[in-house]
Amino acid sequence: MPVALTAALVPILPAAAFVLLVVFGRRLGERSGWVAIGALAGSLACAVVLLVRALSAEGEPVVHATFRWATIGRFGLDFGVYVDGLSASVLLMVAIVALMVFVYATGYMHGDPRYPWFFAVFSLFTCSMFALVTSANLLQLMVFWEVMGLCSYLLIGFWFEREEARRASIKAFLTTRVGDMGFLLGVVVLLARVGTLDIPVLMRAGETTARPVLLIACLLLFCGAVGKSAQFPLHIWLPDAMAGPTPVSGLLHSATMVAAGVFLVARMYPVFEVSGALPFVAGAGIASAVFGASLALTETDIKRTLAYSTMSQLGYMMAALGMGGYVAAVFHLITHGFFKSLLFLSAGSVIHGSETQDVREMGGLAKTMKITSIVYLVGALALAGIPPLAGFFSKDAILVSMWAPDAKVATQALGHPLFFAALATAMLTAFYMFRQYFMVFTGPEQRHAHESPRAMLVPMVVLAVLTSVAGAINLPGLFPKLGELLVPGEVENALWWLMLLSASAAATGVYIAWEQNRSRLEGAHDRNGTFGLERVYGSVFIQPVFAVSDFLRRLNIDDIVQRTVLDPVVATSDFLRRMDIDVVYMAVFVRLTSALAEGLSRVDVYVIDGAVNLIGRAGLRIAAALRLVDIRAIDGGVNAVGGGTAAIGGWLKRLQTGVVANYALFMLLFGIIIFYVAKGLAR
Amino acid sequence: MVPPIAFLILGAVVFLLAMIGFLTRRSLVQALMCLELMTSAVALTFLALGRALGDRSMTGMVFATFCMVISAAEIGMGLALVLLYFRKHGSTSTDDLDLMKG
Repeated sequence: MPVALTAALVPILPAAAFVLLVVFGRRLGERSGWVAIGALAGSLACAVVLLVRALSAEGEPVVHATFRWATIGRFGLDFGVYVDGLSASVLLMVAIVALMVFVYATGYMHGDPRYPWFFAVFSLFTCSMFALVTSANLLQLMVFWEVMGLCSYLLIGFWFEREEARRASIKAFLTTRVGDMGFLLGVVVLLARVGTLDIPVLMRAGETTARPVLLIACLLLFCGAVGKSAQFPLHIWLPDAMAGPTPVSGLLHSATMVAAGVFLVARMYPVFEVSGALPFVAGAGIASAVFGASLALTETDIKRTLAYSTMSQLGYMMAALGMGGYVAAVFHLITHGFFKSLLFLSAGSVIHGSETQDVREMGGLAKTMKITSIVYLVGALALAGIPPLAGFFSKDAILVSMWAPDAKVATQALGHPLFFAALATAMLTAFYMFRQYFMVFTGPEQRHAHESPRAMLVPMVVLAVLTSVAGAINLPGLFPKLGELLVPGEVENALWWLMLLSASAAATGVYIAWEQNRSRLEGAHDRNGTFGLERVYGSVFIQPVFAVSDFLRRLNIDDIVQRTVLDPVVATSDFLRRMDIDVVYMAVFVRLTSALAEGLSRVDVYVIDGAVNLIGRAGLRIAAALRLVDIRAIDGGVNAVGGGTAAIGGWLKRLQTGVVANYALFMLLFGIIIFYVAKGLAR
Repeated sequence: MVPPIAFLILGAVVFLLAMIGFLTRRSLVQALMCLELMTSAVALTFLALGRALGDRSMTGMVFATFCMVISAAEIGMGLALVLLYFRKHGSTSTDDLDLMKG
C-alpha cells in the first residue's frame, strides 16, 4: 500500500463509519459502536505504519501528497496529507486514546436512546482530529478545526434535554468562536503576505517575510489556540463542557480536541520561533497553568476538577513551547493524553458506580471499586508527576526547558520565574489530585457503589499500563527517541537535581493532601475539604487585593471634594459675613433698585397695558371672522379627502389578500414591468 | 468544454422551477427552500457570465460568494421566523398566513 494512501486512510475510515452510522444507525442499534471501533482500529493500524516510517525517516516528512481542491484567481488551494515526526506521534496517541474511549463508551452509553448518533458524531470527531493532524494546508487544518468545534458542540449538548447541557454546549461553541475569529484573521494575514497556506512552505516563511507581519499572524493564530486549548482568558467553557457524557470529556476535552491548540502552535513552530510571538505564548501558558491549578483547588465536582487540571496542564505545554521546549511540550501532550483520558474514564466509572459527581458525597469507594481505584491512583500519580510514571518525565522535560530556555527564543531572566511558578503549580497539582483521590476512595463508605462493566474497565486498564510506560518514549539522556523523531540531531541534557526537585515538590503535594485527609477523617468537621494551604494561598493572592481596595476606600473621594472645594467656599462666605457687608449692600443697591422699580411700574401701567388691551380686542374680531371660513371651507375639504380615500381604500383592499403567493406574483409582475421600463429608458 | 450558454440555460430553468414552486407551494419551509434555489440559480448565472466574459477580477465569483452568504443569512432568519410563527399559530401553511388580509 503506498504510504500516501495509508495516511489518507487514517481520517477516511472514521469518516466512512460516520456516513454508515448516520444512514444505518437506527437499524444497527447498539452494534453501531462496533462499526465505529472497527473503523478506528483500521486507523490505528495505519497510524502505527506511519510512525514506523517516521522513525526511519530522520526528520524528513514521511508523506506530502496534495491535490488541487480549488483555484481562485492566482491562488490555488491544495488539500492533502503531510505527515512528519510530529504528526505521526500525535496521530498514534490520538488513535490509541480514541480507540480506548470508544470501547469504554460502548459500556458507558449502553441503553441510551441516541446510542448510534453518539457513535456517529464520535466518529466524525476522530475523523476531523486525524485530518487536522495530517493537514498539508493551513486552511484544511482550520476546516477540520471547526468541524471538531461542531462535534464538541453536539457532544457536550448530547443530553440536550438538560438545560445545563444546552447552555454549556452553546457557551463552548461561542467562546471558542472568539478565538477562532483570530485564527481566521491570522490565516488571512498569512495568505495575503506569504501568498500560500501550504504548511511546509509556511514553515520556511521566516526566510522571506518581514518579522512584524509574522508576529501579527502568529499572535492571531495563537488566539485560536487559546480558545481551543481553554487557555486564560478563554478557559471559561471547559469546566461547563463537563455537562457532556464522560467519554466525551475523556476524548475531546482532555486528550485530543483541546490539545489541538497546542498542536497548532507546535505545527507552526518554525514561524512562531522567528516571529517573536513565543514570549506571549509562554505568558498565556504559565498564567493558565497557575490559574487552572488554583481553580482546581476550590472545586468539589470530580469532573470539573479534572477540567481545570486539563487547562493547567495545557498551560504547561504552551509555556514550554514559549520557552523553546518544543520536544518537551509534544512529549507532555502525548503523556497527558494518556493519563488525563485515563483519569476521566475512571472518574466516569466512579460517577457510574456511585451516581454522584460531588467528591464530598463519595468516600471509601476503594472497597467496592477496586480496579477503578487502582487505575485512578496510577493516573493521579502520573498527573502529579511521581516517578517513574509518564507524567514525571514529561513534566520534568518542561521544567528543564524553563530552567534552561532555548537561547534563540527566550532568556533565563524570563525562564526562571516561569520555572518557579511551574514548580509551585506542580505541587498544587499533586495536592488537589490526591485530596480528591483520598476523598473519593479512602475513608468511611458513604453510599452504596458497584464496579463498572468490563467494557469500561478494560480500556481503563490498557490506558493505565500506557500511562505507566509512556515515559519511556523519551528518557532524557538514555533513550531520547521522541526528541530524535521531532528534532533530529539535538541532544537534550538531563538535569538530575531538577528531577529530584520536581519529584519532591510532587511528593510534598501528596503528603499535604494525606495530612489534610487524616485530620479531616479524625476531626470529621471540615467536610468541605478546605485546607490550610488554601488559606496560605489566599493570604498571598487575596490579601493584597483587599489592602488595595481598603486604601482606595480610605482615600475617599468625598473627602477630597470636601477639602478642596467646599471648605474654601464656606471660609469665604464666613469672611464676608464678618465684614458686615449687608449694611453696605442695603445703602447702595437696595434703595437705588426700589426707586428705579417705582418709575418703571408707572410706565408699565399706562403705556404698555393700554397697548396690549387694544391688540387683544382687535384680535377677537378677526378670529370670529376666520372661524366662519374654517367651518365652511377647510373642514368641508378635509372631509371630502377623507371620504374619497376611504372609498378608494375600500376598493383597493381587495388586492390585499394576505396570501403570500399573491404578493410574490405581484412582485414578479412589477419586476417584469420595471425591467421593460428600465430597458425602454436606457434606449 | 461546456459552453457558457448551457450554464445560463440551466440557471434560468432552475430559477423558473423555483419560482413556480414558490408560487404554488403551501408550506412555508418549502417556500424557503424554493427561495434558496432561486438564489443558487442566480449564483450559477453569475459564475457562468463571469467565466464567459473572461473575468480577470473575479467579479462573478465574488458575487456568487455574496449570494451564498446572503442565502445563509436569509435561511437563518427565515427559519427562525417560521419557527416562531409555528409556535404561535401551530401551522406553517401559507394559507393560514393571512393576517395582512385587507
